[in-house]
Amino acid sequence: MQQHHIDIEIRPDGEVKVHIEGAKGKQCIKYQELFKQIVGEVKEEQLTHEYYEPDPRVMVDIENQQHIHH
Amino acid sequence: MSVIFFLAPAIITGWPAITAAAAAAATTMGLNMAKEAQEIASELNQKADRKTKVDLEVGNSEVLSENVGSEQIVLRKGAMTLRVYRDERNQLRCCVEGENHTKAELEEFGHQVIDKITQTYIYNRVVTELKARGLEIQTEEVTADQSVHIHVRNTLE
Repeated sequence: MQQHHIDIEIRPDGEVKVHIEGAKGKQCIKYQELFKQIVGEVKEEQLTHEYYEPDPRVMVDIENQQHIHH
Repeated sequence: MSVIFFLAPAIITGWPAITAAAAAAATTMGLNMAKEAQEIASELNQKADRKTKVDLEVGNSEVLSENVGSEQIVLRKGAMTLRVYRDERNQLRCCVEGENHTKAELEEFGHQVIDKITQTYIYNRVVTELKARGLEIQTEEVTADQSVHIHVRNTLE
């Protein structure tokens, strides 16, 4: 079982900071795409070492809350 | 830790979502929302020559609507009146007027209200869209600087 933690900070001027924990590589990109749809354009991103770790063999479909094991 | 990213807010929506955000922002800021927006806007135009006035653009905004012209919200605080409206390019704008106030004071008030409407709109949208996707909101908190913090957990089996 995998858990992703998402911390969202909506600042007083409406700017949004999102911190994704537990997701790697392409999973992070999926979350980023989701928040772009909801909020607006990405101004800045900070990738950490975990981002570059190999993906677990699970694909996440955030739109449908499904995951596919390979 | 995986990734941190920052997003610039965009208000691209229909008038009902803007009205909902403006009403909630007005409540939070202790502003009165005028019921007869049309009449007050007309009254403002008649007295316009006696009042200081500033007109501010809401960046990254687009009002999606088939109606032409009539959409506006009027908010009041003391001697200041603020009108949120859609311009001819469908962009959201904010006009602030008031007697005995400098332009700088009116601009500051206008920006405060625009920021609060933007924050409220983004909050409503984030919560609605996350719930629609079955993502579980664990905690919500408003901190001293008026930022809203939301923690979400997504469990994948």
